[in-house]
Amino acid sequence: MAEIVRAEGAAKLLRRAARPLILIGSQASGEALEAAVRIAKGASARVAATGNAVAALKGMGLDAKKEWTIEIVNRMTLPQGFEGEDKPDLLVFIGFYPYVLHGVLSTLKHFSECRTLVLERRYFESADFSFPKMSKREWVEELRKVAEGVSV
Amino acid sequence: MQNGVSEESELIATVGKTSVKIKEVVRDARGIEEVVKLAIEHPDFGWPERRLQQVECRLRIYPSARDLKDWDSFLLGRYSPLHVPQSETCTDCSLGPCDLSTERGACGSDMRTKCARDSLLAACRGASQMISHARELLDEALKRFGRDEKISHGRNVRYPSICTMLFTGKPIYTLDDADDALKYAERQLSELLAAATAPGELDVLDLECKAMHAGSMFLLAAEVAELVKESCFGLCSAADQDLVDLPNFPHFIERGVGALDLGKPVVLFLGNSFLAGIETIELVKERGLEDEIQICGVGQMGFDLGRRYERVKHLGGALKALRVVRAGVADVIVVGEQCVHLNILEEAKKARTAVIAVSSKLSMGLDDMTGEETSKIVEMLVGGEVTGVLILNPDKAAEVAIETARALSKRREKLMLPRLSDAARCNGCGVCDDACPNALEVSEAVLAAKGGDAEKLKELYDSCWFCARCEGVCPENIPIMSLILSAAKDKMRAERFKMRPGRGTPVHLEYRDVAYAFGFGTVSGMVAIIGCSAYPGSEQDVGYMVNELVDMNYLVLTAGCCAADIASFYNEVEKKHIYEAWPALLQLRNFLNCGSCSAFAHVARAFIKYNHLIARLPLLGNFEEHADYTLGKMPMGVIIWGPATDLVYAAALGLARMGVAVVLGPHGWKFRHFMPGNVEDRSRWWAYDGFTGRKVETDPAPPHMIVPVETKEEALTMITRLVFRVNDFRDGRMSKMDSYWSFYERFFRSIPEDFHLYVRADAELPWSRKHKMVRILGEKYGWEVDKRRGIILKYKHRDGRLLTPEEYTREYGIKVGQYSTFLKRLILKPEARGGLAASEPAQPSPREGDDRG
Repeated sequence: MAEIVRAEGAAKLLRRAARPLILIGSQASGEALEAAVRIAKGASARVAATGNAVAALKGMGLDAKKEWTIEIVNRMTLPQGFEGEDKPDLLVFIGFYPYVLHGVLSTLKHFSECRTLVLERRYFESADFSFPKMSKREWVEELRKVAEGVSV
Repeated sequence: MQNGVSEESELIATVGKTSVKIKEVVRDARGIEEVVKLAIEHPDFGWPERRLQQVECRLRIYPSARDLKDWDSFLLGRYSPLHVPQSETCTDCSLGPCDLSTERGACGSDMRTKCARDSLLAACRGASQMISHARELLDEALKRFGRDEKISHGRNVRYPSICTMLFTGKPIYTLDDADDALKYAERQLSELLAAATAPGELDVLDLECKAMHAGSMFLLAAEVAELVKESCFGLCSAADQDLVDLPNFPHFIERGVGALDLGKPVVLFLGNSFLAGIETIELVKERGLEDEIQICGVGQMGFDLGRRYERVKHLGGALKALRVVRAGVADVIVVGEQCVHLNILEEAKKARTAVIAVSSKLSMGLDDMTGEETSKIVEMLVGGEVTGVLILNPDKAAEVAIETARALSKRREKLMLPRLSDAARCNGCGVCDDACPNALEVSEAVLAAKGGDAEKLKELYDSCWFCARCEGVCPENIPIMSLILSAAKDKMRAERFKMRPGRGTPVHLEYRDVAYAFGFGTVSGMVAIIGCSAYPGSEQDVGYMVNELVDMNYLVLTAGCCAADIASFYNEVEKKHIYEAWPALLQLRNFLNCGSCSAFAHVARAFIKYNHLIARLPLLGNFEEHADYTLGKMPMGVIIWGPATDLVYAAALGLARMGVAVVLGPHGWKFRHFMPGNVEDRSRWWAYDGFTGRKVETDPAPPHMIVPVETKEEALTMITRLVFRVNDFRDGRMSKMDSYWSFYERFFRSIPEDFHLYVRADAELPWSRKHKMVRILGEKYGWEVDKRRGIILKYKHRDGRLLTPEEYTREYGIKVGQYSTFLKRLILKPEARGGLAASEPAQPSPREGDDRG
């Protein structure tokens, strides 16, 4: 079962991670996307834009790279490095369809070593750390607090 | 047939002056000697003499999964399976339950083994659905027409039963042949299921091979089902049409509730109720009731019955059937097995609709009334004494359906839906949001309706697939699904589109017309969009993808429920709905629908057929060589949109095994199993030079075999990437590069980061982007280029060396037009290499090679 974290805990995890990779999916939009961008900038983390998110992220001034979720998950399960670099030690997810994320997390949990942090408005038990279930408004607020927390 | 070891060892197949010993070309020739001999000597589908001299002749006739392991091992080695565990606890055998998250189970299985076994089981379930469907039809045909009844393939089909003869080694010409093929599939299925029973098979690779074998058996059974439907039960087929008629073939049928006259009796067919449906059509025609009785189908029945009778109305994909049932538009529902909501009886009761179950595989606990008088059954259904009955005789089911619909139609009102005031009970708890498998924001819409705004409910109509989970969990018992239908009642009544119900197989002349364009690469690729489609927004998504791919000069075909969803897409340029916008040939700027999910076989045939037409590959018992050729040369891809049903799962594995790359829609993450490639691992990307046997490092093409995506834009971009082949000709590589780059740039406002891996020569760069590409190769990837002239001076190998064009051609990729293979036994024999017998053939420069291409 995933450990439930709120904004403060999530920010701490991000700050402590040596090589965090933030995956931002197509389902993040509006205020949530703005908060996600602030988190990414604040944490100085690599950002992988999956789905169609890359155009919006670039439009918001974020140096995001288009990635395919399946390719990231596959690489994480392989013994080799990650594009010539060390593998990320923390994968952070924002803006995914729940049924996509359930599959992603289940695979990562059983076949990779990396830790996962889910910043969605639902609880994902296959993650290592997950936000609890919350309303849309609470979610956006929580994301904003994470952004503030990582910038400290 | 000869008997005895001594006679068997003497049996020889002879083509021209070349002879081969039967016992040397198959693992075990006992009992199939004559089949093997014919498979080699067959004048149309057998081995040309030259081919017999060129490569080692090895046939796999009636193969088990083990017999095809050479190919499967290669494929699974390159595209290593990535599993999605469905649960941590294994309860597959009596030794457990075992928690596999930390250690092996009591039987020795670990999580990977468990996942592979689950994959095999899912593929077996999918295959069994199709095999059982084919068996039911075939048994009925055998009873009616006898074993010697000839199967008509149509006058325009020169290559009958391709999916079957690749495995059985003989074409299907009679019902007896079809029975023989299906018995083989049934034997394989029981063997595979035995292996899937824990502890059973424990090796992950063997389990994966077996899962793919189940996929192949699915396609074989689907082909048998289609042949029987067309030949014995009168489904229309392009095989009998003149080519000039094909752009408008088959007839249009109407799709959508708006096509129904709700004042007249409606009989709705669900699941696999094919035989009852055919009999109902016959009876309606015989009694002259065409203007009175409306026959409609959901899912496969909409396609199959529509291919038989042009007045059939298609009411959408099978997984969304509940919306039609809840709306109460049907007076009678005839239900067979497969793709049926299990709550159908309760739902029908709410709508005062009568149910007739016609399959022993889905009897729903109903009393078997097959032996009762028709009038008595009708009386019971009309009087409301029972909601449903089981009738296992298609003739009687048809009679009861018609008479019950006529009587009930006068007594009941259709489209009776609750008022929106029921939303007033909503307390905003949000339980419905959590229950929704598509993560729709249901509570927000219900709360808005409570406040008098029904717009959000109406919007949900396009996204909801009507599983009714939301109202099942609602603590206030609000009939949420009905509220959505009620809010969108006008929208539903306005749904009326034209669609083609399916034309069966593409025909010989169509193939010939594009075969060489295909072979030389001026066609970018062939993409089939198949699947159940039920996915939020799918009706527009699948149509959008078809439209984009047709526009991008791909050959596009479809089959399965998504073919019905596609119908609602409106082409803004042509100002028509999509089936009216594009003619229906297997040609560029066309789009064709093959039919229901059994018509996946026609899609598979379309992929394989080109191999024979272009390369003259023998067809009988020669699956591996076709798969090898497809993976190496043929730009074939499939997009599967919608949920991961077992049936579609089996189809995906069967197609991937054939060398056809598969892209799964967002619900693909439920597929349990993918086959991604590891592009960065150079050791995985190689092919044999077919002339010298030299192992050559190649471009990673296609980079994946089965992968999920998250959006329709990702699906389009990924499929254009997955049609790359190591054996692409210059023009083919150029057009593929162009479409991949074009979609990528348009959808993601950036350039594909891996494009340099597919650059083999500057002559292959798309003209309109050449200078930009050359500049990026120089600036970003360190290639030596002349930006002004737009040419590459030195190519950067993946190992970091800068190479001249000649060196690069020799060391990276297959030289344009050169025969290559992934299987050692398909390397040309030394004596067949002619002037190329030397260890290294003369290597022309890329430009010379290109010009020849």
